[in-house]
Amino acid sequence: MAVEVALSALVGAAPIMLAAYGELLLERSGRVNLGVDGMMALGASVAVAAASIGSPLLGLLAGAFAGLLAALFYALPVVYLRADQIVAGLSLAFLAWGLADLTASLTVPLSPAIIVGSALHDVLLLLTLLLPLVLWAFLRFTWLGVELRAVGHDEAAARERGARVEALRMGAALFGGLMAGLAGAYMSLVLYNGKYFAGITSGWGWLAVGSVILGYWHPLGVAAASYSVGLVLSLRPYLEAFGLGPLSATAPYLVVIAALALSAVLSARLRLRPPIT
Amino acid sequence: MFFADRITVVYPTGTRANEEVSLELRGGEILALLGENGAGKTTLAKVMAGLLRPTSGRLLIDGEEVSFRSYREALARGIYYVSQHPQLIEGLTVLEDVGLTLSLAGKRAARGELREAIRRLSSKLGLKVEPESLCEELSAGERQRVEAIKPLLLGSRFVIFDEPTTHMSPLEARALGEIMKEMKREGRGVLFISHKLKEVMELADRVVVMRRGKVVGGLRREEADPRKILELMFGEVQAPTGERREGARGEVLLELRDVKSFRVRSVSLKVRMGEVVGVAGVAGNGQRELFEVITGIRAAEGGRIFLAGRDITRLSPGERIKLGLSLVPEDRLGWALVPGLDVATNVYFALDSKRFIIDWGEVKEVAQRALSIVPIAGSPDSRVESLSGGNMQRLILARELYRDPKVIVAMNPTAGLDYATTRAVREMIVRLSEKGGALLISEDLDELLELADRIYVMSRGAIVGEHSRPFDVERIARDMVS
Repeated sequence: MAVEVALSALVGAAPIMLAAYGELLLERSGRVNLGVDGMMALGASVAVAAASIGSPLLGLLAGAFAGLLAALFYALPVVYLRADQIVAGLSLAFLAWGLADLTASLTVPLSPAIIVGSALHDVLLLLTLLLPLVLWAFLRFTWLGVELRAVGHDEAAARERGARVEALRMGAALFGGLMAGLAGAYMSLVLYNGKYFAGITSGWGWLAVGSVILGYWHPLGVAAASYSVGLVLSLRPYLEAFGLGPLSATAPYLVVIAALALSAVLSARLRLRPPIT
Repeated sequence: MFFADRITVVYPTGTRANEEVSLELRGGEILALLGENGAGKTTLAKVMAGLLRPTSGRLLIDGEEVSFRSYREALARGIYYVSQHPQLIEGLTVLEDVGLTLSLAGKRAARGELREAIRRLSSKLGLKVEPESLCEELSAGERQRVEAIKPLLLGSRFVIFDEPTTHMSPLEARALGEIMKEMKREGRGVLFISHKLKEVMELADRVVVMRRGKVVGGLRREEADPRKILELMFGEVQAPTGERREGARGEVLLELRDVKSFRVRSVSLKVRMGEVVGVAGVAGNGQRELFEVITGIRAAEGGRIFLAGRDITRLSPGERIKLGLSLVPEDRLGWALVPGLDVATNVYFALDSKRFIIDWGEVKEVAQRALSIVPIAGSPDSRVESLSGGNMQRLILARELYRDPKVIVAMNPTAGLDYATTRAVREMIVRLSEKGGALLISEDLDELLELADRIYVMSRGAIVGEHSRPFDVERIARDMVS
């Protein structure tokens, strides 16, 4: 029973987790992209379109690639032209939402879904579980990972040392786009049975951004945080059963805000800083 | 052999930081580069380390011309630069920080091996730092020594230390000296930048002295004695004029009684009406901290400060200014002037007769009046950061003159200024002192000899001597290095 609940929560939490991993890497390089939700929507929409002419696998890949391309709208101005990252991220969110709806309006609205329990789905879940370990090892045990963290911690000092600030941030931002696109594709192809509709992400991209902070920028922490957020989301039907009605839909967001406030207080009290690994 | 050939560096502000400077660093020697603040030592070091491109001149390694587009290229050619504020990257461990430098220089090392190498080297060098400890937990001296390990691991041939001992305890400084000697024994060339005479005399094989962007002399250790070096550092000290200016014996306007603070051990001094009082000393002996205590930015931990008889020890900087204290800090932009605002606003902003709603007409008028005292090249509408350093200083002094203060306290007011502006600024300080008093904290001894009626000498945070006109330069210099 407990395993079942945990697993079903994982199915629901996977898109938040995937998107959060991408954002995590970018934030460790010292930049934040607020366009995650938009890139997810675009990924969802493009995945449906691609899956309808090919296979679910093609849909996933196309969605991820669409997210990567969308991330360029953020990364090029921010990394190379030093544009404001907040404005660039928010603009990207709105732009990508628009593009997602546009793509959907041009194509067939329904495509083959990825069935929970299918081999492809299992691979996706495995990826969701293993990626934080890979990221952790990358940041902790490779010099490239150390270089990326150095850029995030002290850009000027790292640059003086010869670190490739722009290349690393570009890479991290594109990886973030890739993961957000994949997360969106997962939403439309797995959670909504191959359907796309406007507002499909229902703000989960923002939950991913929040999870990065909540997980204290540690890959395993972010995995735990985003999974927990997903778990709260999966409890929604039960909350509704309790008669909380509309409030149940806002519960995850309230939980995130409360958890953020709590973690801010705790980290200040314990003098915690973003972890070293 | 690493040779810097006729390096000239002109900064965008027009400051000529290096003028035809040539320097030869050989393997197996410690070469000290001495000079006051602003003499151009760091500029030269940065050029040699590939951090700064010279306006003209070239670098040669073993007779072959090299040109560095980045620090990374200099690293690859066997040059290592340890900056004044060693930038270990906070958030990384010592092991990661060292490993990052190696990996960026193209030397990959396995974590385990590197950990052993760091342990071995640090125990050899008397550095008690665990490879797994976080960089941010290290003291300044420890950071500097971690930096010193890197060139050993990289196999750098030339190591440049930029004023490494500034933030070190004497014990740490001695440990670093041992590291330098070790490097020398291994055949590396060490360039050691400093303005501390004593450590230079202990370590260096040769001493090169810079002054106002030029090399003014080179001495072998055998022929270097402190007086000779001081003469080079501070210039041919002209025989000071003996006359005392009139009116320098009025009431006491500023008095410090046994003031103590960080790096200030005990300072007592008096500034009287109509008097320019100098505080001399080799840079880094507590002068900056003394200035901050007088301004009120830094709290006095002991002693009392009086302004025209009133105890201001506990007052805020703003209250002190209202009572007639006038400040000319060393950092013009950001401290004396607000960047991003125009000239007129910067003048008006410092006055205390402000109302809630701004009368822009009045602001302009006040600025015009202040600038009529001291003209600057720039209109009241120009942004302050577009002014040259000299015009900024003129503007600051114009404002202070307009405010008609009781006491002006200035810190290195002519640092980095050209000859003409220096003359003008000194003249203004004398003018300011005519209606009040002036305390001039300066690392430029010539300036003090010219302007001051009395000179206090500060060394290691305490006043070690007081001198009156006619000045005995030798005695002052002796006090400075005491």
